[in-house]
Amino acid sequence: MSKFIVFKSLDDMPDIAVSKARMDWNKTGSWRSSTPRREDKTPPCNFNCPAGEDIRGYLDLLKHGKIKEAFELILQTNPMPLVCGRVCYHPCQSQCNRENFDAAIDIRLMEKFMGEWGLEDYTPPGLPSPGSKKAAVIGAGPSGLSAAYYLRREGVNVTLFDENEHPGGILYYGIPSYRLPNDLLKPELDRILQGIAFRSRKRFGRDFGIGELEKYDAVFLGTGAHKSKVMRINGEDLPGVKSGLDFLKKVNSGEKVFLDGKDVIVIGGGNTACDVARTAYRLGGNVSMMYRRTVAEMPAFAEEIEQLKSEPIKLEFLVAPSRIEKTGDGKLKNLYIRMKLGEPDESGRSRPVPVPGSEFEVMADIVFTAIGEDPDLSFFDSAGKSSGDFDFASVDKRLRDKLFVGGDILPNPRTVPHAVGSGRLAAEKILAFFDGEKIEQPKSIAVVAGPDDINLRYFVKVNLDKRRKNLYGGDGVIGEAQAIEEANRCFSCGVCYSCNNCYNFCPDMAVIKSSNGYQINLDYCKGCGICANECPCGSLRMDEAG
Amino acid sequence: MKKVVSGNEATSLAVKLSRAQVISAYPITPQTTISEKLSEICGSGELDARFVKVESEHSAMATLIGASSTGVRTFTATSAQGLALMHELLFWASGARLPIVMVDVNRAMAAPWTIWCDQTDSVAQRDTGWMQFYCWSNQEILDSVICSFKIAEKSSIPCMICYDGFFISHTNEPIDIPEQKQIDKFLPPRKAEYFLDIDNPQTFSGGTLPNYFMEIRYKLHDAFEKAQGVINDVYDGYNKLTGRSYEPIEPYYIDDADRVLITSGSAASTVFHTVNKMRKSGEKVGMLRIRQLRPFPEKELLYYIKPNIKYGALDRNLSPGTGGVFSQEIRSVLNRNGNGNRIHEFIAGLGGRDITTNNIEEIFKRIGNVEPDGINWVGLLK
Amino acid sequence: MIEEKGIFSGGEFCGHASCPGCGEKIILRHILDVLGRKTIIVCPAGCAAVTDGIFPHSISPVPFMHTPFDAVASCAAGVRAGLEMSGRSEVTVMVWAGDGATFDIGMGALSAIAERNENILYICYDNEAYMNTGIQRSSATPFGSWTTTTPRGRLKSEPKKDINFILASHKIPYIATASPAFIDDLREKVNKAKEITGLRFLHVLSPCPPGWKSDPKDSITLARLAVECNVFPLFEIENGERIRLSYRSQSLPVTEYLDMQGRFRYLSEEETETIQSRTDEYYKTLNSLHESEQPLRMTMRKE
Repeated sequence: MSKFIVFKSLDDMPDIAVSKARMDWNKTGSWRSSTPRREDKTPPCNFNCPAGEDIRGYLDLLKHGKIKEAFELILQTNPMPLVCGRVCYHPCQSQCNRENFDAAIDIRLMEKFMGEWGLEDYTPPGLPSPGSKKAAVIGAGPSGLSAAYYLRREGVNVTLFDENEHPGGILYYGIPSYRLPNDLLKPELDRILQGIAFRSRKRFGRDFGIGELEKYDAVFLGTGAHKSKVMRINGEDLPGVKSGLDFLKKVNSGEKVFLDGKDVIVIGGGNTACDVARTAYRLGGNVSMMYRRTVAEMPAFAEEIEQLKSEPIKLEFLVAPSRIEKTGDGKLKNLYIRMKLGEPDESGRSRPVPVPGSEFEVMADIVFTAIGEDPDLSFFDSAGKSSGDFDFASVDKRLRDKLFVGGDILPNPRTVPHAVGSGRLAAEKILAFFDGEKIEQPKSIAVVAGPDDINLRYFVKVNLDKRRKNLYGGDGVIGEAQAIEEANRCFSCGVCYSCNNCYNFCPDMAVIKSSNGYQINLDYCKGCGICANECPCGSLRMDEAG
Repeated sequence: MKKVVSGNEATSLAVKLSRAQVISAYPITPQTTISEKLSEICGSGELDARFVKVESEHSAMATLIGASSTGVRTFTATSAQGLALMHELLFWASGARLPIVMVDVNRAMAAPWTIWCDQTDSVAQRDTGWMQFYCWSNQEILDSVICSFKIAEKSSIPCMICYDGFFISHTNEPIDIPEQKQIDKFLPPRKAEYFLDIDNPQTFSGGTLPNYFMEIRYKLHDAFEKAQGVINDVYDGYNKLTGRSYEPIEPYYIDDADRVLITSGSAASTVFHTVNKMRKSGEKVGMLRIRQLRPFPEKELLYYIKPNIKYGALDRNLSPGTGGVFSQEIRSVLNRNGNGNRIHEFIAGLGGRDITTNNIEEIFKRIGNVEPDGINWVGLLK
Repeated sequence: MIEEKGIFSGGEFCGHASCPGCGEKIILRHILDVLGRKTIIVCPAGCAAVTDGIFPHSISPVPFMHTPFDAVASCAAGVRAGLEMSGRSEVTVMVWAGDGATFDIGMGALSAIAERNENILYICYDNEAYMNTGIQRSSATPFGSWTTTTPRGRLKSEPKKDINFILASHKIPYIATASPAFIDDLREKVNKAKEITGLRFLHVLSPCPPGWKSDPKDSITLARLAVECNVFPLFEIENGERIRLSYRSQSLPVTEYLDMQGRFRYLSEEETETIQSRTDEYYKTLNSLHESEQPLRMTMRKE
């Protein structure tokens, strides 16, 4: 730091005007009328990820070729990138700010790539030895696996119970193998289950009870929602009328099911209904799907609907079953009534209203119902509620204070990433509980970076044809180079990615690089605003005040 | 070593002996033969110097300002329009205290075009902060150029050596040339106090506010005040080496003179011969030859100016509306010091016109016969 | 995060008096960072001279010699000669001059050092007018621009002097244009020029918020648009012959660049069209002269 030099006498002075010090005594920060401030925002992908993944973060690592670091970043919030790369509906991707510029980052493909990379090239670090704390996790579906995994990583002694032979729950038994082949699922589950005691064929309330749980310091309940809703129509209990979910489970368990040439009706419009219809089609059935509203109201994910439409499955909209009868030749006569859309109901969708006199009949061999599932909490004597918030008050008090729940028992959307996220959150709560603390659900005050926060001048539109060929030419299988190229397109919305613009473009060298990122030296910043203006991702802003 | 050389050759020899390192010049009559000779000896390696062949005198001086700022010894030569073109840079050189040495071969300023001699070109640069020495012989040129490097470097003031175009520059005279060894001892390589040094990065001549500008100027002025001491020391040293020395004002036949003519440059030679001639016929005339316009030898002048002697000043230059510049300087010194002498002022020889012994005899006559009455133009058409 | 290295680690550059958003200082700090400490700056009158500091203070981390406005090229030649005569040939002599000193008052001396192929790195920061004296037109001022000497109703009616091709005709070894928005390109060119012997001329566009009547925050955006709209194409000329475009611009309409600057606010539609067609013509010519086996870079985005 130079001082302002004052010559007190002629003799002090040199004979010529020669410099003796720098100018840094001149604090040009006093010129400033507005002030830059670092303010990272939340990228929409991260904000919309039910599992809480730092998607921008792992794309940033990926684009620098740091695949291992990227993979480990995913594992911090989601133990199953391979599964999610295949079955997640990726709300991250549909909210990607790049969508309206050229095309959203194919985050699903990135996650799938990462998942596959993890299977082949990743060796997990050694686990800490289990400590004194014990936790029971009931249900080896996505939420239970997630809870068990994050507890075990922190040295908790975890026992995982499931009623089925194989772990995975809905992943193993519910999702059809054309979407998630079990031979891919297995290695990922193996990685998750490292160091965890898995007890198969142990159904809570049947094979063990609250008494057995006494030796555990905490219990996580993630038994999901497997009880099919009833239609409340005549003929619902006929032998040919079956639960769609049970059908999927049977198929996934390896049981041979033949539907060759059979007329199959699937009732419902959700993801399960779609899976049932497409599975039935693959087993040789002539499949019709019946849904009481229109395609616009279908609760299934858009891409699932797209795939459904691409298959020779007959779709009937605005129809509702009114009665099913058995005919002499063993067939099922289905009576339907046509519907029209009325006022919106509490879900915001238009309520279907029957059209009087519009009844018609359809013949079928088999009818699968898939109009939704509820949690089965019959193992509690006082049976917790089947919908809405979990009712802790109704649980036996020996269990109540150490019980944590997650997954489809909660009134969250019934998706794998939501379950994974809730399992991880429950694990965090349990760990805090062990430490005598309590985690309050953080209030969401995230500022999400929108398209206006991005300085599009820094980004070049990709040649969409070229990208399509590059990314999808290989049947959805991509290599490292393609993954890096795609990750490179990430805007890094709202989050500094060390591009150096603020540092490079400051005329006053008032941006300092430090181990904490870029910092503004307000002693010299004149407030020109170049740094904020040239920040490609909107992580700097100007405050109106010196 | 004795050799018969022209004034311009004497300059070139002196520059070579002084081991100037960067030379830059632009051709202009009557200076051109200096550039040619220096270019030749730089090219042949006789002198280890870089000759930068610029496109103007402005650039010649700018080049030397740059070169001198790196701490090396520099030289240029010019005349008339060339010197005027350098004007801006002359201030820069002195303000930056760069010891550049320049020869100005005096030539009248156009318009109208002329290539012939008068001193108006150099006297017009009087206020640029350069020392100015006026020579009357080729020997003096050689000696002055060598000594100027030392004077300039010791006082950090640039030096200009002036002599009359053609009358001196192109006239051959025998001169004594010192040995290189002698000069190397007398004039070691320059040691600059300040220079562009990557190991000690400093900024030179940057913006200076009113709080210090006057002090910077005062220091330059002060250096001029002290310069006479430096000059005298240098010539004392040179005298020991060569037996030759020069005074700021050189008197001739003044001890018993009743009339004294003060002049400079080649006109002094004519006055010298006229004094000799008039002395033979018993006239008590004498001469003061002024060698320095800056620093102006005030004390020395006062020493020579005596009561009851009549003085005239002969200028081969003109500041229109005021008269000759040396006359002006003399008047100013006398006035400032309360000296009651008034001097006769003569303008002669502008644009190369001959100044003859007749002219000088007329001038002495006038000094003796009439009271000083303003400016007299010698030999002007009626 | 890259740790701070290079010439300015001590914050030596701070405290200068340039206006907020000054392009000149952005350019200078990167140039010096590339050139390093074995550099001497020779700088004529202009914004850079005035904002460097006041006696006895200076921001310059390397020796810095002020010169008269018209004398910078020759002073630099002298510095070069002096360095050579004192055994310091390895030092880079860099001229740091504005467009006034380069295009106008110092043009003769610049032409001379170019003709003599003096071993100097001459860099012109071109803010396209006499900004330091308060926005008077120079021969670098573009057609249609407002300045205090080309006021409304008398906008500059002559095109900008094509300095690069004037210098190319001197057959100097290296000429390049650069923009502070394309900082890597700028740094690469400085680095390349540093290694070449002879006169190297870099012409860098230097946005000037007060003179261009633009928002200080837009300086880099304007420096980028100047390139993307082909108003200031990035190219190199080697030995006065080999011309190579450095960057394939997006060829955006010139209005994107012009509309952000108050100095162009008096342009008529016709004049704007003239600018567009002249710009197109010039870029076409450059393209036709472009010779290289290397494919052009399509983006300057940092990866």
